[in-house]
Amino acid sequence: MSEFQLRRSLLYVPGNMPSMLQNVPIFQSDCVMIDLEDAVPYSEKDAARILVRKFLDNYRNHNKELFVRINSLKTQWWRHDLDMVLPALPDGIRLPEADMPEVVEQLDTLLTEYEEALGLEIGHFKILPSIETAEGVINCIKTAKSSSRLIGLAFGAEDYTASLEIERTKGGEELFAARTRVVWACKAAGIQAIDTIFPDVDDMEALRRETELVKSLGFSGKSLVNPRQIDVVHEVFVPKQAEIDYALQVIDAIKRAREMGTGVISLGGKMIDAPIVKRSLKTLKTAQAHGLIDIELDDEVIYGHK
Amino acid sequence: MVTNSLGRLLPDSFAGRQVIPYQDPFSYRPQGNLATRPLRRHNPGANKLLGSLREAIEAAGLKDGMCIATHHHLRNGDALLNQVVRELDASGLKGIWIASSSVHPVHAEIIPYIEKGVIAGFECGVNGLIGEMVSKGELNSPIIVRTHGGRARSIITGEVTVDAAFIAAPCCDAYGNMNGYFGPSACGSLGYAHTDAQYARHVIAVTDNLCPAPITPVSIPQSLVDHVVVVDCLGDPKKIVSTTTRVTRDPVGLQIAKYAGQVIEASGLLEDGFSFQTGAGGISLAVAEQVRRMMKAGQIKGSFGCGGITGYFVDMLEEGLFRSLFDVQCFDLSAVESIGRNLNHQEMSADTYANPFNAGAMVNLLDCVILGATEVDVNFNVNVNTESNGYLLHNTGGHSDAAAGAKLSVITAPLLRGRLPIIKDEVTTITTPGRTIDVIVTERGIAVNEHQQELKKELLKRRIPVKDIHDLHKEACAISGQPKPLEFSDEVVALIEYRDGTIIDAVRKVKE
Repeated sequence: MSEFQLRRSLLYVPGNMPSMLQNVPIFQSDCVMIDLEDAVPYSEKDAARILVRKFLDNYRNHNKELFVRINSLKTQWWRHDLDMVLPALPDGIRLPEADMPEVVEQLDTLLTEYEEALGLEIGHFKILPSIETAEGVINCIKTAKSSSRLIGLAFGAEDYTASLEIERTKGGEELFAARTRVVWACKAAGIQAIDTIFPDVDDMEALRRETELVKSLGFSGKSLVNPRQIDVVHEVFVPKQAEIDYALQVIDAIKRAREMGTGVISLGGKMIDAPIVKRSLKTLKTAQAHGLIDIELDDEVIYGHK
Repeated sequence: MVTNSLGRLLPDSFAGRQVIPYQDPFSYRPQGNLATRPLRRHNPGANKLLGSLREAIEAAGLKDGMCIATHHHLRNGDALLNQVVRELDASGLKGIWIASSSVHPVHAEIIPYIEKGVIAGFECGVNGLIGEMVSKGELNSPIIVRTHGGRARSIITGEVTVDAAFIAAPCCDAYGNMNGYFGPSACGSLGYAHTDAQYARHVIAVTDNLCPAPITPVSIPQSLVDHVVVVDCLGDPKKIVSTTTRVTRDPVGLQIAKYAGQVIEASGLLEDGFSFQTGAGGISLAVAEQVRRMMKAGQIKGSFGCGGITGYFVDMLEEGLFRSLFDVQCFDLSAVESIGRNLNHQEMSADTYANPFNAGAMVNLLDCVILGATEVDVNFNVNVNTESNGYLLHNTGGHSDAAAGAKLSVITAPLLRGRLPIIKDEVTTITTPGRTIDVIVTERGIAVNEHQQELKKELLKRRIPVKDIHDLHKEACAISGQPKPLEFSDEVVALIEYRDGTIIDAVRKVKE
């Protein structure tokens, strides 16, 4: 998995609904998270697990990143969830209630055991922990560095506001501090910050405003509850033409720098170094996903030849 | 038995008429003149008003074995056909043929009269229970399914003689001038009734809204109308809407619409002067929404919207995206309301809309049409008539007409409906030949017909997921499994007539 895996849209699909699972291949989100947790009633946990396994077996060549949200490690179900779904090789696990780094570490250890048993490379299964309680937010700075399997942290505002005994508003003022802390944790650890779901699937304008807000805070994507939300989120994350033009210049400059045997170069009087190149590359990858540019992008550009 | 060019086995004759097998969409051209009817003379002072439908039946001189017609502009809200059939029975008539523009589920009321022998058969397609019972062999009544253009053609050429046309006239005067725009049963365009008014041997305007003569505007003029009958109620215009009139919210439908929009964009047709037709229904409207956005963004001024008209098209007209609408049938009440007040919302006859045997139908001027499908086969042939159970449940409408006429005909359909693949090796019934279909858009990919190589290249260039239609078929079957084939007996219960009068397929009785 590339370091620049685009994760603008992470769509939840209930694990107990065949009609929706069947359509996973057609949804154009960057990532799908098949849910065995909240979407599935207690009485259907077994059936959903079997259904999801069958689906994954038939969808081995998945055309998008694929995570499974297992039940919390505090429940009696999570172990069965892993037993059932891991042999079908999802890209990773969305871990609910990651209130402290130890929870992630516990899952990490177990995933290593599964990888050994399945003959997979260690680190194959990624983890995306949910930061969805006050405790989770307090500990997220450590949680973000708790495992090399982490691709990001996912903020969960519904449970978070419940844990604070407050209402979630469309403006989201009550989430500001928590969101900012999650972004800090992610940026410090070099992983992606994924924002919470937006529950009102009919209010596309409010979704757009919220997505614009979280983009400006530093989130790189959002969890989604309905496929109809994908386009709006992608539209917000589409880079502006000026950003693309600048990024192309940066990449061009750094290529020249590599040829000259250096990793730093000046562009228009401004120093271009690794972080700027990294950001430009991300801009271009996003532009490419939107069909705005058609060029070869190579991760080696940032690091030079190994 | 004969086989047509699509390999469909047809009877030599059906309901006493010789079958001409379908060859191709454009070359069949019989010789002859338009049909005629007796001259009339109506002197000053003579009265056209009759007291009842019964009197009209008598005045028309209807006899056993003759043929009547109504229009279906009130769709499932129509009350007239049922009333007429009851009166046919009360008059003691037998063996009457129905050549209405369509028959809807509300007309299941006439089933007892079919069983009783009052009604002999249908010179038109049917929607709903009648077709189902005929398919099961529970009802003995031959059906000849026609397209909208094909029905107009069959009357104009004289293949079908309508002895008495009962035209529901929502706004009508005592001398027979009528329109469909106003009144408690307003249905908008009277497009299907024009041919009946011009060619039926006897024309009876039926109204529940008699207005002082002459009414304006005149849609069908007094000079074509023999009698006028007032009834309590023509029907319920609220039931004109048979399907949804809102853009679909289903993510699968929206994905299909998005691809369809991309196909239209890639076709190069979306420029000033663009002409367009879609049906009602959630996916069609979602495609219209895509087109609307693209036209707005590109500041494109289209020429006309065509066919059955929805409020959605009315909005596009009013936003200046189209110069005019050509309306054979209003699909909802917004369209009904618009046609009565907007001169650029133009009523057209089914003849003008889609008849292949006139000097040029409106469909010939269409750039793009979006059509649905019950099934599509790997040769792009489309079925909209029979369902997965083999029953004849749907009329053709303008499907084959618009597909033949438009530069780009796009089928939008989910690859899987319920548990069944929509793309099959062979469709149950061929309604519209694959040669007139350009693109099939599903949520899992787009299949482009052989003759559209340029478009295919352009779609691939734009990274739109073009797939071979055989691969889409396999993909569907990999998910659903191969459905067990339907079993039919040899008995032909209906013919599917192509728009030119040749027979494209036969519907057989289902083995239960």
